[in-house]
Amino acid sequence: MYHDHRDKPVTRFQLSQPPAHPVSRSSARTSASLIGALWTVLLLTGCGGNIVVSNDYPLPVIDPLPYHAGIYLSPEFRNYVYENDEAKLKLSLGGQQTALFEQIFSAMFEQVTTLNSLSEADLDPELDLVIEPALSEYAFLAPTETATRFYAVSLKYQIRLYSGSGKLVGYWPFVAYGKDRKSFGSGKRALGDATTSAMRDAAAAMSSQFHDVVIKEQWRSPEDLNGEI
Amino acid sequence: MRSDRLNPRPLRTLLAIAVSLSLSACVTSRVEEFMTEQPSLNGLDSIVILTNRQDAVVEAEKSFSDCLFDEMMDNNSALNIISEPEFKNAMFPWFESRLAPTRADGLNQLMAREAIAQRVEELNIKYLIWIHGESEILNKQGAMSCTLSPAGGGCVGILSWDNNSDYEATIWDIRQRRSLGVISSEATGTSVVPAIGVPIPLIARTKSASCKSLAKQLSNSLSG
Repeated sequence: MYHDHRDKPVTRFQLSQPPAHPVSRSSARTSASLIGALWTVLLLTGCGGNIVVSNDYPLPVIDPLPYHAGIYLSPEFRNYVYENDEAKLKLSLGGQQTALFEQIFSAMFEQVTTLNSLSEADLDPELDLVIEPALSEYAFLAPTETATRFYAVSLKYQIRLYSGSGKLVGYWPFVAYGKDRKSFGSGKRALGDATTSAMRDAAAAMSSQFHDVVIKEQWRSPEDLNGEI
Repeated sequence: MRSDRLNPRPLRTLLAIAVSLSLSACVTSRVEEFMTEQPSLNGLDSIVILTNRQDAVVEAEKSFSDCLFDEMMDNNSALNIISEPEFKNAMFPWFESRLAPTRADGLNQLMAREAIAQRVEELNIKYLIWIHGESEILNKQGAMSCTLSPAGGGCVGILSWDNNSDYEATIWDIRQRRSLGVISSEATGTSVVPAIGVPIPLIARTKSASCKSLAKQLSNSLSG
């Protein structure tokens, strides 16, 4: 389905059927990769302008949980940049996701304290829990790859939960999706809107599911976290 | 001094004919209404037009939703229509694709949330109108070749394709938490571009026809 363009740039364009002519598998793969890469570059660079992802999100209409939560947004999270050399694409998402998660957490808990680090000096013993979101993967598919008229974006998040004293107690992974219709010459706009849509979906997942994760302690064990990021 | 220039009036007439031809090809549209109950609005009630985004493949274009909004306002300026972005932001995130109810009885669970019920009351919303469908191009046929040289250029050939626009509007009563019915609008036509020198596009504007038909029927239904 979704592929991480950063880690596996070639797999997106692999042929699903064997070639009709006696071409070696590696050369067929290379040709398909080149055609796919060229097509994606054409779609995204053909018509000027930047990819715009919204950083303006409304306050969620949710009932706050009766907790004092500490929120830690790491420098990696705040400054996240997606780069894809193949598609000549560079997309800054740090500011947008920082705005979104600050907005969600402020609505989700009765009291929220923003932490500068997870060091003892910054932690407050009165905190009921500490939360650290991390974006582990941004991926997109162009309409040529989905065989639809849509750009599709996925955002893979992990929400790490710590005790008030800073001990990792678990994590909750989820994937947010967004799509937007491509029209002629609108590749960048559609990709930006699909990303905004995925960000809003992340807010929907947090608002609807994270409540239960916290209240019913449905997080995963920290041991499962090893090697996932 | 006598002018040898051509009289511009026949040229303007020809140009007008060419423009009108390029704007219109034959379109057939059909509207059907399946309502179990007739909607009725008082002066303060609001309606919301929403695009159904839960289908992975079919989704009404933004241009269609915009057209419907504009046409309904033109048909009945007394209607209070809340735009989709305004509504979704006011209800954030409960009408995002992941959480939006897929059936009218799903409104029960949503409206059980006090904050949501309060927002609905503040905005005085009575009906949600879900739009689903799309326009597509089918059966592309023909060929055209064009040349360009220092002496001039031109095209010869003919292209044709079928345009099909199929949309439906499902009306939910958010206060009664039930569906009142569906109004569907389908428009079909064939676009042709003949060229002997200059291509003359005869486009079947089915999306626009479907939008206008649906807007008219919705406006009539909502006006009682």
